[in-house]
Amino acid sequence: MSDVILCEGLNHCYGSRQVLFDVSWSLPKGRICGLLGRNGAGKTTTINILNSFLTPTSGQCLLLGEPSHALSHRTKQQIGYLIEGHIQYSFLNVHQIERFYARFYEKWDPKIYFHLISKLDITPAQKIATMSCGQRSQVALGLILAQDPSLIIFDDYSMGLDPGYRRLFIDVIREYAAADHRSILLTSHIIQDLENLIDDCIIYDHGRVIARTDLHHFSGSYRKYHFNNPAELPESFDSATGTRIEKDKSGYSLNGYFTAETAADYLRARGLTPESLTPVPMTLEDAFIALTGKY
Amino acid sequence: MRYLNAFCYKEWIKLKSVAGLLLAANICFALYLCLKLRYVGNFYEGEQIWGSWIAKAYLFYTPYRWLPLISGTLLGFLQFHEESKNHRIRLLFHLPLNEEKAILWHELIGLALMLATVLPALLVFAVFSTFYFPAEFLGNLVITSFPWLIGGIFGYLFMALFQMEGYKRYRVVYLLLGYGLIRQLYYLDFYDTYARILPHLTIAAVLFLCLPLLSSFRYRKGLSQ
Repeated sequence: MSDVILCEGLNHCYGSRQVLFDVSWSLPKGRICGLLGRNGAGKTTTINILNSFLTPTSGQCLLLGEPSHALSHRTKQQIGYLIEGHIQYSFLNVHQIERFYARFYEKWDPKIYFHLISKLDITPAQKIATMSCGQRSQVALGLILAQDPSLIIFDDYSMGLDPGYRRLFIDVIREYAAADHRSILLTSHIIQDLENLIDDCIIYDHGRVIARTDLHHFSGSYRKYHFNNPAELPESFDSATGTRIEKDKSGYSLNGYFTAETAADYLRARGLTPESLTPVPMTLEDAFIALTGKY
Repeated sequence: MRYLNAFCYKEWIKLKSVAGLLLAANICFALYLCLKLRYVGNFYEGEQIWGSWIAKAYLFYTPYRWLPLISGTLLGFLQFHEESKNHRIRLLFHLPLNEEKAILWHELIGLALMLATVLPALLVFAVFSTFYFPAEFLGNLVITSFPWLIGGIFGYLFMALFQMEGYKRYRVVYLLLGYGLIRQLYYLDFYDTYARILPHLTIAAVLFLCLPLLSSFRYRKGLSQ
Protein backbone atom coordinates (compact mmCIF):
# COMPACT_ATOMS: atom_id res chain seq x y z
CA MET A 1 0.00 0.00 0.00
CA SER A 2 1.66 3.24 -1.13
CA ASP A 3 -1.25 5.66 -0.68
CA VAL A 4 -2.25 6.40 2.90
CA ILE A 5 -5.26 8.40 1.72
CA LEU A 6 -7.18 7.71 -1.45
CA CYS A 7 -10.24 9.75 -2.39
CA GLU A 8 -12.15 8.50 -5.39
CA GLY A 9 -14.96 10.34 -7.14
CA LEU A 10 -16.22 12.21 -4.10
CA ASN A 11 -19.43 14.11 -4.58
CA HIS A 12 -21.27 15.73 -1.73
CA CYS A 13 -24.44 17.80 -1.44
CA TYR A 14 -25.86 19.79 1.46
CA GLY A 15 -29.53 19.59 0.57
CA SER A 16 -29.76 20.66 -3.05
CA ARG A 17 -26.42 22.49 -2.98
CA GLN A 18 -23.52 20.44 -4.32
CA VAL A 19 -20.22 21.29 -2.64
CA LEU A 20 -17.90 18.57 -3.95
CA PHE A 21 -17.70 17.59 -7.60
CA ASP A 22 -15.99 14.33 -8.50
CA VAL A 23 -13.03 14.95 -6.20
CA SER A 24 -10.22 12.42 -6.53
CA TRP A 25 -6.73 12.58 -5.12
CA SER A 26 -4.29 10.54 -3.08
CA LEU A 27 -1.65 11.08 -0.44
CA PRO A 28 1.39 8.81 -0.88
CA LYS A 29 3.10 7.45 2.20
CA GLY A 30 5.74 9.69 3.75
CA ARG A 31 4.57 12.89 2.08
CA ILE A 32 3.34 16.14 3.61
CA CYS A 33 0.44 17.44 1.60
CA GLY A 34 -1.36 20.77 1.85
CA LEU A 35 -5.05 20.78 1.06
CA LEU A 36 -5.55 24.35 -0.05
CA GLY A 37 -8.47 26.43 -1.18
CA ARG A 38 -10.49 29.51 -0.45
CA ASN A 39 -13.19 29.59 2.22
CA GLY A 40 -16.05 27.38 1.11
CA ALA A 41 -13.94 25.50 -1.43
CA GLY A 42 -14.76 22.12 0.13
CA LYS A 43 -11.69 21.43 2.28
CA THR A 44 -13.53 21.01 5.55
CA THR A 45 -16.19 18.86 3.89
CA THR A 46 -13.41 16.61 2.63
CA ILE A 47 -11.76 16.50 6.05
CA ASN A 48 -15.13 15.64 7.61
CA ILE A 49 -15.61 12.80 5.14
CA LEU A 50 -12.09 11.53 5.88
CA ASN A 51 -12.90 11.50 9.58
CA SER A 52 -16.30 9.87 8.96
CA PHE A 53 -18.24 12.90 10.22
CA LEU A 54 -19.95 13.03 6.84
CA THR A 55 -21.06 10.35 4.44
CA PRO A 56 -20.41 11.51 0.88
CA THR A 57 -23.32 11.52 -1.56
CA SER A 58 -21.17 9.31 -3.76
CA GLY A 59 -17.56 8.19 -3.97
CA GLN A 60 -15.34 6.94 -1.19
CA CYS A 61 -12.20 7.62 0.82
CA LEU A 62 -9.73 5.01 1.95
CA LEU A 63 -7.48 5.72 4.91
CA LEU A 64 -4.59 3.31 5.35
CA GLY A 65 -6.50 0.97 3.07
CA GLU A 66 -9.81 1.04 4.95
CA PRO A 67 -13.02 2.92 4.07
CA SER A 68 -13.13 6.13 6.12
CA HIS A 69 -16.64 5.38 7.42
CA ALA A 70 -15.65 1.97 8.78
CA LEU A 71 -12.18 2.31 10.24
CA SER A 72 -11.02 -0.49 12.51
CA HIS A 73 -9.79 0.38 16.00
CA ARG A 74 -6.26 -0.57 14.98
CA THR A 75 -6.33 1.84 12.06
CA LYS A 76 -7.79 4.60 14.21
CA GLN A 77 -4.81 4.16 16.51
CA GLN A 78 -2.59 5.16 13.60
CA ILE A 79 -4.42 8.34 12.69
CA GLY A 80 -3.91 11.62 14.51
CA TYR A 81 -6.43 14.39 14.01
CA LEU A 82 -6.18 18.03 14.98
CA ILE A 83 -9.60 19.67 15.04
CA GLU A 84 -9.88 23.19 13.65
CA GLY A 85 -9.29 25.65 16.50
CA HIS A 86 -7.10 23.21 18.49
CA ILE A 87 -10.19 21.93 20.31
CA GLN A 88 -9.46 19.77 23.35
CA TYR A 89 -11.07 18.90 26.67
CA SER A 90 -10.61 22.32 28.21
CA PHE A 91 -11.78 21.28 31.70
CA LEU A 92 -8.68 19.08 32.10
CA ASN A 93 -5.17 20.24 32.93
CA VAL A 94 -2.06 19.14 31.04
CA HIS A 95 -1.41 16.12 33.26
CA GLN A 96 -5.00 14.98 33.43
CA ILE A 97 -5.45 15.09 29.67
CA GLU A 98 -2.26 13.11 29.14
CA ARG A 99 -3.44 10.51 31.62
CA PHE A 100 -6.79 10.29 29.84
CA TYR A 101 -5.44 9.78 26.32
CA ALA A 102 -2.60 7.48 27.36
CA ARG A 103 -5.09 4.65 28.00
CA PHE A 104 -6.34 4.64 24.42
CA TYR A 105 -3.12 4.34 22.43
CA GLU A 106 -0.83 1.34 22.50
CA LYS A 107 2.22 3.25 21.29
CA TRP A 108 1.67 6.22 23.58
CA ASP A 109 4.90 8.06 24.34
CA PRO A 110 4.51 10.66 27.11
CA LYS A 111 8.06 11.96 26.58
CA ILE A 112 7.09 13.63 23.31
CA TYR A 113 4.11 15.29 24.94
CA PHE A 114 5.91 16.54 28.03
CA HIS A 115 8.83 17.73 25.92
CA LEU A 116 6.48 20.06 24.05
CA ILE A 117 4.68 21.09 27.21
CA SER A 118 7.96 21.96 28.93
CA LYS A 119 8.44 24.78 26.42
CA LEU A 120 5.25 26.48 27.54
CA ASP A 121 4.96 28.98 30.34
CA ILE A 122 2.20 27.17 32.21
CA THR A 123 1.69 25.69 35.65
CA PRO A 124 1.10 21.92 35.99
CA ALA A 125 -2.41 22.43 37.38
CA GLN A 126 -3.42 24.97 34.77
CA LYS A 127 -6.56 24.00 32.92
CA ILE A 128 -6.52 24.07 29.14
CA ALA A 129 -9.44 26.50 29.20
CA THR A 130 -7.19 29.17 30.73
CA MET A 131 -4.39 28.79 28.17
CA SER A 132 -3.72 31.02 25.19
CA CYS A 133 -4.53 29.74 21.73
CA GLY A 134 -0.82 29.13 21.08
CA GLN A 135 -0.40 27.11 24.26
CA ARG A 136 -3.51 25.09 23.47
CA SER A 137 -2.12 24.35 20.03
CA GLN A 138 1.01 22.86 21.58
CA VAL A 139 -1.00 20.74 23.98
CA ALA A 140 -3.15 19.45 21.10
CA LEU A 141 -0.07 18.81 18.96
CA GLY A 142 1.73 17.04 21.81
CA LEU A 143 -1.24 14.75 22.36
CA ILE A 144 -1.30 13.82 18.69
CA LEU A 145 2.42 13.20 18.42
CA ALA A 146 2.43 11.10 21.61
CA GLN A 147 0.07 8.68 19.85
CA ASP A 148 2.88 8.02 17.38
CA PRO A 149 0.47 7.98 14.44
CA SER A 150 1.57 7.15 10.91
CA LEU A 151 -0.94 9.58 9.40
CA ILE A 152 -1.86 12.98 10.83
CA ILE A 153 -4.63 15.25 9.63
CA PHE A 154 -4.32 18.89 10.71
CA ASP A 155 -7.47 20.89 10.03
CA ASP A 156 -6.44 24.56 9.81
CA TYR A 157 -3.56 24.24 12.25
CA SER A 158 -2.67 27.93 11.94
CA MET A 159 -6.04 29.24 13.10
CA GLY A 160 -5.55 31.86 15.79
CA LEU A 161 -1.78 31.36 16.11
CA ASP A 162 0.71 34.21 16.17
CA PRO A 163 3.79 33.97 13.90
CA GLY A 164 5.94 32.56 16.72
CA TYR A 165 3.60 29.70 17.51
CA ARG A 166 3.04 29.05 13.80
CA ARG A 167 6.77 28.71 13.35
CA LEU A 168 7.05 26.44 16.37
CA PHE A 169 4.19 24.30 15.09
CA ILE A 170 5.79 23.94 11.68
CA ASP A 171 9.20 23.14 13.12
CA VAL A 172 7.73 20.38 15.25
CA ILE A 173 5.71 18.93 12.37
CA ARG A 174 8.69 18.96 10.03
CA GLU A 175 10.97 17.31 12.57
CA TYR A 176 8.36 14.68 13.38
CA ALA A 177 7.53 13.87 9.77
CA ALA A 178 11.18 13.53 8.78
CA ALA A 179 11.93 11.10 11.59
CA ASP A 180 9.98 8.12 10.30
CA HIS A 181 8.40 8.94 6.94
CA ARG A 182 5.08 9.85 8.44
CA SER A 183 2.32 11.13 6.23
CA ILE A 184 0.62 14.42 6.94
CA LEU A 185 -2.39 16.12 5.40
CA LEU A 186 -2.96 19.69 6.47
CA THR A 187 -5.08 22.66 5.64
CA SER A 188 -4.20 26.27 6.32
CA HIS A 189 -4.96 29.71 5.00
CA ILE A 190 -1.44 30.96 5.74
CA ILE A 191 0.05 29.85 2.45
CA GLN A 192 3.49 31.39 2.96
CA ASP A 193 4.07 29.16 5.99
CA LEU A 194 3.67 26.08 3.84
CA GLU A 195 6.41 26.89 1.33
CA ASN A 196 9.07 25.15 3.34
CA LEU A 197 6.87 22.49 4.82
CA ILE A 198 4.71 20.65 2.32
CA ASP A 199 5.84 18.33 -0.45
CA ASP A 200 2.60 18.28 -2.43
CA CYS A 201 -0.43 20.45 -2.72
CA ILE A 202 -4.01 19.85 -3.71
CA ILE A 203 -5.91 22.99 -4.55
CA TYR A 204 -9.67 23.17 -4.46
CA ASP A 205 -11.87 25.74 -6.12
CA HIS A 206 -15.63 25.67 -5.68
CA GLY A 207 -15.63 22.00 -4.81
CA ARG A 208 -13.34 20.87 -7.62
CA VAL A 209 -9.69 19.90 -7.61
CA ILE A 210 -7.97 22.40 -9.87
CA ALA A 211 -4.38 21.45 -9.06
CA ARG A 212 -2.83 18.29 -7.67
CA THR A 213 0.89 18.53 -7.87
CA ASP A 214 4.32 18.57 -6.34
CA LEU A 215 4.77 21.94 -4.61
CA HIS A 216 8.03 22.80 -6.34
CA HIS A 217 6.54 21.95 -9.71
CA PHE A 218 3.58 24.18 -8.97
CA SER A 219 5.53 27.16 -7.66
CA GLY A 220 8.13 26.73 -10.40
CA SER A 221 5.83 26.38 -13.37
CA TYR A 222 2.66 28.27 -12.55
CA ARG A 223 3.35 31.77 -13.81
CA LYS A 224 1.75 35.13 -14.09
CA TYR A 225 2.22 37.47 -17.05
CA HIS A 226 1.00 41.01 -17.28
CA PHE A 227 -0.25 42.30 -20.62
CA ASN A 228 -2.22 45.22 -22.00
CA ASN A 229 -5.08 45.05 -24.37
CA PRO A 230 -6.80 48.04 -25.93
CA ALA A 231 -10.20 46.39 -25.85
CA GLU A 232 -12.11 45.26 -22.78
CA LEU A 233 -11.58 41.55 -22.07
CA PRO A 234 -13.88 39.30 -20.07
CA GLU A 235 -12.24 37.57 -17.10
CA SER A 236 -12.09 33.81 -17.58
CA PHE A 237 -10.91 30.63 -15.90
CA ASP A 238 -10.35 27.21 -17.39
CA SER A 239 -10.38 24.75 -14.47
CA ALA A 240 -9.01 21.91 -16.65
CA THR A 241 -5.75 23.76 -17.40
CA GLY A 242 -5.70 26.24 -14.49
CA THR A 243 -5.49 29.12 -16.95
CA ARG A 244 -6.97 32.38 -15.79
CA ILE A 245 -7.24 35.79 -17.42
CA GLU A 246 -8.11 38.56 -15.02
CA LYS A 247 -8.10 42.30 -14.90
CA ASP A 248 -5.49 43.99 -12.74
CA LYS A 249 -4.65 47.61 -11.91
CA SER A 250 -2.96 48.51 -15.15
CA GLY A 251 -4.19 45.95 -17.62
CA TYR A 252 -4.66 42.21 -17.56
CA SER A 253 -2.84 39.19 -16.23
CA LEU A 254 -2.56 35.76 -17.75
CA ASN A 255 -2.01 33.05 -15.12
CA GLY A 256 -1.20 29.46 -15.96
CA TYR A 257 1.40 26.79 -16.59
CA PHE A 258 3.17 28.82 -19.25
CA THR A 259 6.62 29.77 -20.37
CA ALA A 260 6.98 33.20 -22.00
CA GLU A 261 6.67 31.55 -25.42
CA THR A 262 3.61 29.43 -24.67
CA ALA A 263 1.93 32.41 -22.98
CA ALA A 264 2.48 34.52 -26.10
CA ASP A 265 1.13 31.68 -28.28
CA TYR A 266 -1.90 31.38 -26.02
CA LEU A 267 -2.71 35.06 -26.43
CA ARG A 268 -2.06 35.04 -30.18
CA ALA A 269 -4.39 32.08 -30.59
CA ARG A 270 -7.13 34.24 -29.06
CA GLY A 271 -6.42 37.21 -31.30
CA LEU A 272 -4.70 39.18 -28.55
CA THR A 273 -1.42 41.05 -28.78
CA PRO A 274 1.39 39.58 -26.66
CA GLU A 275 3.87 42.43 -27.29
CA SER A 276 3.51 43.92 -23.80
CA LEU A 277 3.71 40.52 -22.08
CA THR A 278 5.90 40.76 -18.98
CA PRO A 279 6.43 38.06 -16.33
CA VAL A 280 5.41 38.93 -12.76
CA PRO A 281 7.48 37.36 -9.94
CA MET A 282 5.32 35.37 -7.53
CA THR A 283 5.50 33.77 -4.11
CA LEU A 284 3.57 30.58 -3.41
CA GLU A 285 0.73 32.67 -2.02
CA ASP A 286 0.70 34.81 -5.17
CA ALA A 287 0.56 31.65 -7.27
CA PHE A 288 -2.28 30.30 -5.15
CA ILE A 289 -4.27 33.52 -5.57
CA ALA A 290 -3.43 33.65 -9.26
CA LEU A 291 -4.85 30.16 -9.65
CA THR A 292 -7.92 30.49 -7.43
CA GLY A 293 -8.73 34.12 -8.22
CA LYS A 294 -8.63 37.24 -6.08
CA TYR A 295 -12.18 37.42 -4.86
CA MET B 1 -11.83 -1.78 30.94
CA ARG B 2 -9.00 0.72 30.64
CA TYR B 3 -11.13 2.75 28.21
CA LEU B 4 -13.96 2.76 30.74
CA ASN B 5 -11.52 3.80 33.45
CA ALA B 6 -10.33 6.65 31.24
CA PHE B 7 -13.89 7.84 30.65
CA CYS B 8 -14.69 7.59 34.38
CA TYR B 9 -11.60 9.66 35.11
CA LYS B 10 -12.53 12.37 32.59
CA GLU B 11 -16.20 12.49 33.54
CA TRP B 12 -15.38 12.61 37.24
CA ILE B 13 -13.16 15.65 36.72
CA LYS B 14 -15.83 17.25 34.56
CA LEU B 15 -18.79 16.61 36.85
CA LYS B 16 -17.46 16.21 40.37
CA SER B 17 -18.29 19.78 41.44
CA VAL B 18 -21.85 19.73 40.21
CA ALA B 19 -22.39 16.15 41.43
CA GLY B 20 -21.12 17.18 44.87
CA LEU B 21 -23.48 20.15 44.96
CA LEU B 22 -26.42 18.03 43.85
CA LEU B 23 -25.63 15.40 46.45
CA ALA B 24 -25.46 18.07 49.17
CA ALA B 25 -28.72 19.62 47.95
CA ASN B 26 -30.48 16.24 47.88
CA ILE B 27 -29.31 15.33 51.38
CA CYS B 28 -30.16 18.75 52.77
CA PHE B 29 -33.64 18.55 51.31
CA ALA B 30 -34.07 15.02 52.66
CA LEU B 31 -33.01 16.17 56.12
CA TYR B 32 -35.42 19.09 55.93
CA LEU B 33 -38.27 16.70 55.10
CA CYS B 34 -37.22 14.37 57.92
CA LEU B 35 -37.30 17.27 60.39
CA LYS B 36 -40.73 18.14 59.07
CA LEU B 37 -41.84 14.55 59.63
CA ARG B 38 -40.43 14.69 63.16
CA TYR B 39 -42.46 17.79 63.82
CA VAL B 40 -45.63 16.15 62.49
CA GLY B 41 -44.83 12.98 64.44
CA ASN B 42 -44.50 14.93 67.67
CA PHE B 43 -47.85 16.66 67.30
CA TYR B 44 -50.07 13.98 65.76
CA GLU B 45 -50.93 10.40 66.53
CA GLY B 46 -49.52 7.67 64.31
CA GLU B 47 -53.03 6.69 63.17
CA GLN B 48 -53.74 10.24 62.03
CA ILE B 49 -50.53 10.40 60.03
CA TRP B 50 -51.14 6.99 58.50
CA GLY B 51 -54.72 7.94 57.70
CA SER B 52 -53.80 11.19 55.99
CA TRP B 53 -51.18 9.32 54.06
CA ILE B 54 -53.60 6.72 52.73
CA ALA B 55 -56.81 8.74 52.52
CA LYS B 56 -55.52 12.20 51.66
CA ALA B 57 -52.41 11.20 49.72
CA TYR B 58 -50.22 13.26 51.98
CA LEU B 59 -46.77 11.76 51.64
CA PHE B 60 -44.21 13.64 53.63
CA TYR B 61 -41.55 13.06 50.98
CA THR B 62 -43.69 14.16 47.97
CA PRO B 63 -41.88 17.54 47.63
CA TYR B 64 -38.75 15.50 46.97
CA ARG B 65 -40.14 14.15 43.67
CA TRP B 66 -38.60 16.89 41.52
CA LEU B 67 -35.05 16.49 42.79
CA PRO B 68 -34.16 13.35 40.79
CA LEU B 69 -35.51 15.05 37.67
CA ILE B 70 -33.53 18.22 38.37
CA SER B 71 -30.40 16.17 39.14
CA GLY B 72 -30.71 14.03 36.00
CA THR B 73 -31.51 16.91 33.68
CA LEU B 74 -28.74 19.11 35.04
CA LEU B 75 -26.13 16.35 34.88
CA GLY B 76 -27.21 15.39 31.34
CA PHE B 77 -27.08 19.00 30.26
CA LEU B 78 -23.64 19.71 31.71
CA GLN B 79 -22.07 16.41 30.74
CA PHE B 80 -23.08 16.51 27.11
CA HIS B 81 -22.83 20.26 26.73
CA GLU B 82 -19.13 20.03 27.55
CA GLU B 83 -18.83 17.02 25.28
CA SER B 84 -20.48 18.55 22.25
CA LYS B 85 -19.71 22.28 22.30
CA ASN B 86 -17.37 23.46 19.52
CA HIS B 87 -17.83 20.04 17.87
CA ARG B 88 -15.75 18.54 20.70
CA ILE B 89 -17.70 15.33 20.23
CA ARG B 90 -15.29 14.67 17.35
CA LEU B 91 -12.58 14.00 19.90
CA LEU B 92 -14.69 11.21 21.31
CA PHE B 93 -15.56 9.74 17.92
CA HIS B 94 -11.93 9.81 16.87
CA LEU B 95 -10.82 7.62 19.77
CA PRO B 96 -9.89 4.06 18.77
CA LEU B 97 -13.08 2.37 19.96
CA ASN B 98 -16.61 1.85 18.84
CA GLU B 99 -18.47 5.19 18.84
CA GLU B 100 -21.74 3.74 20.17
CA LYS B 101 -19.90 2.06 22.99
CA ALA B 102 -18.17 5.32 23.88
CA ILE B 103 -21.51 7.16 24.08
CA LEU B 104 -23.12 4.36 26.10
CA TRP B 105 -20.27 4.40 28.59
CA HIS B 106 -20.68 8.14 29.00
CA GLU B 107 -24.38 7.62 29.65
CA LEU B 108 -23.77 4.90 32.21
CA ILE B 109 -21.23 7.05 34.02
CA GLY B 110 -23.62 10.01 34.02
CA LEU B 111 -26.52 7.89 35.26
CA ALA B 112 -24.38 6.31 37.95
CA LEU B 113 -23.45 9.81 39.14
CA MET B 114 -27.11 10.82 39.07
CA LEU B 115 -28.11 7.84 41.20
CA ALA B 116 -25.19 8.55 43.52
CA THR B 117 -26.59 12.03 44.14
CA VAL B 118 -30.20 10.91 44.53
CA LEU B 119 -30.16 7.56 46.31
CA PRO B 120 -28.43 8.73 49.54
CA ALA B 121 -31.36 11.07 50.14
CA LEU B 122 -33.80 8.19 49.78
CA LEU B 123 -31.67 6.24 52.20
CA VAL B 124 -31.99 9.09 54.68
CA PHE B 125 -35.80 8.96 54.30
CA ALA B 126 -35.80 5.21 54.72
CA VAL B 127 -33.73 5.23 57.89
CA PHE B 128 -35.57 8.16 59.44
CA SER B 129 -39.02 6.81 58.59
CA THR B 130 -38.36 3.59 60.50
CA PHE B 131 -38.65 5.64 63.70
CA TYR B 132 -42.25 6.50 62.88
CA PHE B 133 -43.64 3.93 60.46
CA PRO B 134 -43.86 0.16 60.22
CA ALA B 135 -41.61 -1.80 57.86
CA GLU B 136 -44.28 -1.83 55.15
CA PHE B 137 -43.57 1.85 54.69
CA LEU B 138 -40.10 1.16 53.28
CA GLY B 139 -41.47 -0.93 50.44
CA ASN B 140 -44.05 1.76 49.66
CA LEU B 141 -41.37 4.43 49.72
CA VAL B 142 -39.32 2.56 47.13
CA ILE B 143 -42.33 1.84 44.92
CA THR B 144 -43.73 5.36 45.17
CA SER B 145 -40.44 7.11 44.51
CA PHE B 146 -39.37 4.76 41.72
CA PRO B 147 -41.16 6.70 38.93
CA TRP B 148 -39.36 9.85 40.09
CA LEU B 149 -36.03 8.09 39.68
CA ILE B 150 -37.15 7.02 36.23
CA GLY B 151 -38.12 10.66 35.61
CA GLY B 152 -34.53 11.63 36.50
CA ILE B 153 -33.17 9.01 34.09
CA PHE B 154 -35.49 10.17 31.29
CA GLY B 155 -34.51 13.78 31.98
CA TYR B 156 -30.84 12.84 31.72
CA LEU B 157 -31.26 10.85 28.50
CA PHE B 158 -33.41 13.44 26.73
CA MET B 159 -30.93 16.14 27.70
CA ALA B 160 -28.09 14.05 26.25
CA LEU B 161 -30.12 13.57 23.07
CA PHE B 162 -30.85 17.30 22.95
CA GLN B 163 -27.24 18.36 23.52
CA MET B 164 -25.74 16.15 20.84
CA GLU B 165 -28.25 17.17 18.20
CA GLY B 166 -27.03 20.04 16.05
CA TYR B 167 -30.25 20.66 14.16
CA LYS B 168 -32.53 23.12 16.03
CA ARG B 169 -35.86 21.71 14.86
CA TYR B 170 -34.94 18.27 16.09
CA ARG B 171 -33.87 19.76 19.41
CA VAL B 172 -37.28 21.33 19.88
CA VAL B 173 -38.98 18.03 18.99
CA TYR B 174 -36.80 16.18 21.51
CA LEU B 175 -37.63 18.72 24.23
CA LEU B 176 -41.35 18.40 23.59
CA LEU B 177 -41.18 14.62 23.49
CA GLY B 178 -39.13 14.53 26.67
CA TYR B 179 -41.50 16.90 28.45
CA GLY B 180 -44.55 14.92 27.36
CA LEU B 181 -43.08 11.63 28.46
CA ILE B 182 -41.73 12.82 31.78
CA ARG B 183 -44.98 14.62 32.58
CA GLN B 184 -46.71 11.24 32.61
CA LEU B 185 -44.63 10.24 35.62
CA TYR B 186 -45.77 13.16 37.77
CA TYR B 187 -49.53 13.18 37.39
CA LEU B 188 -50.38 11.57 40.73
CA ASP B 189 -48.65 11.57 44.10
CA PHE B 190 -50.65 8.79 45.80
CA TYR B 191 -48.49 6.13 47.27
CA ASP B 192 -47.96 3.11 45.00
CA THR B 193 -49.66 5.02 42.14
CA TYR B 194 -47.40 3.62 39.46
CA ALA B 195 -46.80 0.25 41.13
CA ARG B 196 -48.32 -1.79 38.33
CA ILE B 197 -46.26 -0.27 35.55
CA LEU B 198 -42.88 -0.24 37.27
CA PRO B 199 -41.57 -3.14 35.14
CA HIS B 200 -42.66 -1.28 32.00
CA LEU B 201 -40.97 1.89 33.17
CA THR B 202 -37.79 -0.06 33.89
CA ILE B 203 -37.81 -1.58 30.42
CA ALA B 204 -38.47 1.85 28.88
CA ALA B 205 -35.52 3.34 30.80
CA VAL B 206 -33.22 0.59 29.53
CA LEU B 207 -34.46 1.00 25.97
CA PHE B 208 -34.11 4.77 26.16
CA LEU B 209 -30.40 4.33 26.80
CA CYS B 210 -30.24 4.03 23.02
CA LEU B 211 -31.82 7.47 22.48
CA PRO B 212 -28.60 9.51 22.56
CA LEU B 213 -27.16 7.08 20.02
CA LEU B 214 -29.62 8.57 17.54
CA SER B 215 -28.00 12.01 17.86
CA SER B 216 -24.58 10.41 17.69
CA PHE B 217 -25.52 8.53 14.51
CA ARG B 218 -27.00 11.67 12.93
CA TYR B 219 -23.83 13.62 13.74
CA ARG B 220 -21.53 11.02 12.23
CA LYS B 221 -23.64 10.87 9.08
CA GLY B 222 -23.49 14.64 8.78
CA LEU B 223 -27.27 14.91 9.20
CA SER B 224 -27.17 17.32 12.11
CA GLN B 225 -24.39 19.68 11.03
